[in-house]
Amino acid sequence: MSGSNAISGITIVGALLAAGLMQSEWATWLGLAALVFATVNVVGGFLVTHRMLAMFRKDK
Amino acid sequence: MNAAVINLAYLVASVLFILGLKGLAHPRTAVRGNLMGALGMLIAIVATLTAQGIVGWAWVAGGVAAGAAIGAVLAIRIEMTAMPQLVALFNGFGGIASVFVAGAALHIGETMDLQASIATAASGLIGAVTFWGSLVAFGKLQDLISGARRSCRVGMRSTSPSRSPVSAWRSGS
Repeated sequence: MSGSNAISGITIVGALLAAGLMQSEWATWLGLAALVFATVNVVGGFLVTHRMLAMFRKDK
Repeated sequence: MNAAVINLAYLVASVLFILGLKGLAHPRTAVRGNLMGALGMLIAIVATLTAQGIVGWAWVAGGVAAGAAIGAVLAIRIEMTAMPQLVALFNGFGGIASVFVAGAALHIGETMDLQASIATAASGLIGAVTFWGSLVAFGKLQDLISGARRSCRVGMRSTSPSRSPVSAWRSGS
């Protein structure tokens, strides 16, 4: 579930455009806030999934 | 890069997401599946950054750096028993990000056709539901809110000052 949650962070694409294109002041601020939240979702999500999977790895 | 190449990159990213989710379903391929999902996300991000007209590089760099630092620290330092709450929190963050992106798209005010308007509004609505629902889930997992089902009738009686804020949620009691 945490894997699909990380993938739902694809909204980072919209955040990057909002913050990067800077087409209006509000859009830039909203984009920056969205970018921080979405990046936390993406980076944290994939790392959490990796950490949880590491618990189940069979030690060779 | 022109739009066709960017869209092709998004297609590749989508395929990687699907294959990654497929891989995550089986223990043998789960780690690889997670990496494929991460790679797909990286491709999508890089492709987006090559779009025409990006000027706010400082914002982009700062936002990504801050988010990555917060996400990494939380993911690595939080104890294993708190993983469910953390996943719920991250899910909520994705939701609020969707709301802000929808807001930014609407604020730019460029005339959108009906399809784009509906898509933007829907993504904002879904993001908001995700955000608040995830917060409730986080609260229940973190034992901040009781896990018991509760009714949600309109018209609550006034609560006495001695009641906790949590029990004030319960209507008619």
